Amino acid sequence: MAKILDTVLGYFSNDLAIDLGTANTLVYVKGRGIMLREPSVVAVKKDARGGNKVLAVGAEAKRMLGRTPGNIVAIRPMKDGVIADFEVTEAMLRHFIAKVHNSRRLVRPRIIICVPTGITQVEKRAVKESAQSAGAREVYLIEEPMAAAIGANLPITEPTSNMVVDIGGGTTEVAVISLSGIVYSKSVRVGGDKMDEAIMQYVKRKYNMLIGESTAEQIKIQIGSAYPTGDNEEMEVKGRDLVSGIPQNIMITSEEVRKAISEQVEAIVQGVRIALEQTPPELAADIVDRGIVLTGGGALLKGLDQLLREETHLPIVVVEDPLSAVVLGSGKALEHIDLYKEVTID
Amino acid sequence: MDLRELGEMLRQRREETGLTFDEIVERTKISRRNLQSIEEARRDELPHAVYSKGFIRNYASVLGADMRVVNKALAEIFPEEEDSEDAIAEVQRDLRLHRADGRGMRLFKAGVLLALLVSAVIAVILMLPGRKERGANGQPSAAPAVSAPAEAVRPKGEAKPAEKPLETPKPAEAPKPEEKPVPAPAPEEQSKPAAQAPVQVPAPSAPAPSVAAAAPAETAAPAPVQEPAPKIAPGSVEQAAPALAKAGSVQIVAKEACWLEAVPGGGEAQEFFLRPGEKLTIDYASSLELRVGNGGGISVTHNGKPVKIDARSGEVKTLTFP
Repeated sequence: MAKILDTVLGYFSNDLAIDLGTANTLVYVKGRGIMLREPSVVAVKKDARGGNKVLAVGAEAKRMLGRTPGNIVAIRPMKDGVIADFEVTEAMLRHFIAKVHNSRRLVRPRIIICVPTGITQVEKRAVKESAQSAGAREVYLIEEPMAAAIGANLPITEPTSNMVVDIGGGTTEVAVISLSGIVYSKSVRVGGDKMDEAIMQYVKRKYNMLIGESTAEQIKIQIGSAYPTGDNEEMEVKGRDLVSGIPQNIMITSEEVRKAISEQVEAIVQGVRIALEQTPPELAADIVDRGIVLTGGGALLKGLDQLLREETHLPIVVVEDPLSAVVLGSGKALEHIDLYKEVTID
Repeated sequence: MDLRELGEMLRQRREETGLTFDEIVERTKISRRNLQSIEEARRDELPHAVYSKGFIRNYASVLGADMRVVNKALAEIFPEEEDSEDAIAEVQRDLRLHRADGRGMRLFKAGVLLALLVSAVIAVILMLPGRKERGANGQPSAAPAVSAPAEAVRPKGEAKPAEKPLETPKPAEAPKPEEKPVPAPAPEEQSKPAAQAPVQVPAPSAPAPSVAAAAPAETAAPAPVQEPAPKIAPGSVEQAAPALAKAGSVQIVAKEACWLEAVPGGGEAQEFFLRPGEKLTIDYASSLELRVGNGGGISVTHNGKPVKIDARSGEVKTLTFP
């Protein structure tokens, strides 16, 4: 009976591909393209009886991060690329699914969700179940570097190797793909979030000033870089002095930021280096010729491509729209589910 | 600009800046062979489009070339992957299906839902004990439920045969005169705004009385016959009307993938999704509001005249006609 109901309701639903990222969640609707791009943040309000109520999701909730009174918490339910808070993730998914369906109720779409490589069975199950309880009829999982490679239009079905580095908010995925399969993959739990934390720590240590997560992210986006670019930019940062407790302004330079995030950048470079070491020689020869493809929000960090170029002596290519490569790839897999079914995992 | 011109431009630029191949290889790490292939426009020796694009972009940025020119040239040299022939054919097939049932599909879905609802109601009525005695009460209550979804095609057709066989001919005739007024006023009301569609109106009203006359004389059999007649007629009026009062037509040709929504004056919104090369013609009666998701990626002609759209690729635009 439940199956019949699912089929009937599925008829009224649009199939979705979701890039459930630590920083941003993107939703691709079959036949329409990317319909939603929101930060993965949920604001939850506790009511008098101790129950929780979802107050805001996405961009609206992100504005509340660190600015909430006692009874409201703005949560980022994803951590290191996996679900950290099951119920909140479910509420967020439900909200996004309803939003792309124009708030229609009773929809049971088929969903493809991207997950980092090398996540545990428990983590996989968590993703599947939260999507199912958010209203999905069928859930397919696809590995992020594979989705990124499909999204970047790489020739993954050919017997030549493609090396993809996807730098997301929580994880950095390095993978070598050939013949629609992953030859080697490694997931480093370092990404944009860790860089934000490093910037917060740096400002705290050097200037005795506390800044919030979103301020740190702003600093990284505006003046952060991985390799000296020549011009030394400056940015005004507002925060609270640790000693006097008074809000104040300081100026921070791009060189300082580079120093602050150098540890995280080094971890990414190290991950790439290890992947290169582990690649079979024939495939390594292809990589020398074609180089490495960078995707994900981290690819937008200034000078990261140049740094990798210097460190690996390989040509580095940044894809056109690094932020949406993963969701575009899973969307493509969704459009041709029969073709790409083999790239999904269970 | 094709690959040859772009390669030539890059070579000139390199000679101007006085950089040698070795220096460029040192900076971009692109192999010498690939760099030469770019300059000499040997397309078959270049790697896959994604890599080639990246190489050319890196090379151009090292030379300090104008990236806008390079990006534009690259878009021409390496068109989107989706443009492959079978992909287009597939999308076109999808679109044809989509367009064919754009409105029909919604009606059909509504119809299926209503049919389910109505059959559920009937099932409940049938299961009620002592149906025979309550026949008189049950009938009128069922009748409005059935006649309410006037535009739905299926519910009525299904509802009637389900009810009729249970009744003896006599009680069956009793509800019929009650029902007749329901479809009958509808055409009459339509005949008032006759100025709009003078030709169609007599058509639906004419068969209705004739069937009405025939119905009492016969038994349960005519019931299904009687239903389709008035129903098809209003449908045809509705569909013909926009064609009669057509005031203009807008043709959209997509150069890039583009989502669009058309809201005709007083009508309901319709959505389309065009892939590169797709063509769409929309007719409207009084006015038309067009929302496009990618203003730079389409060209629009209104009544045969091209319309200028001041938008970049990816910009959302709202156009109003006339």
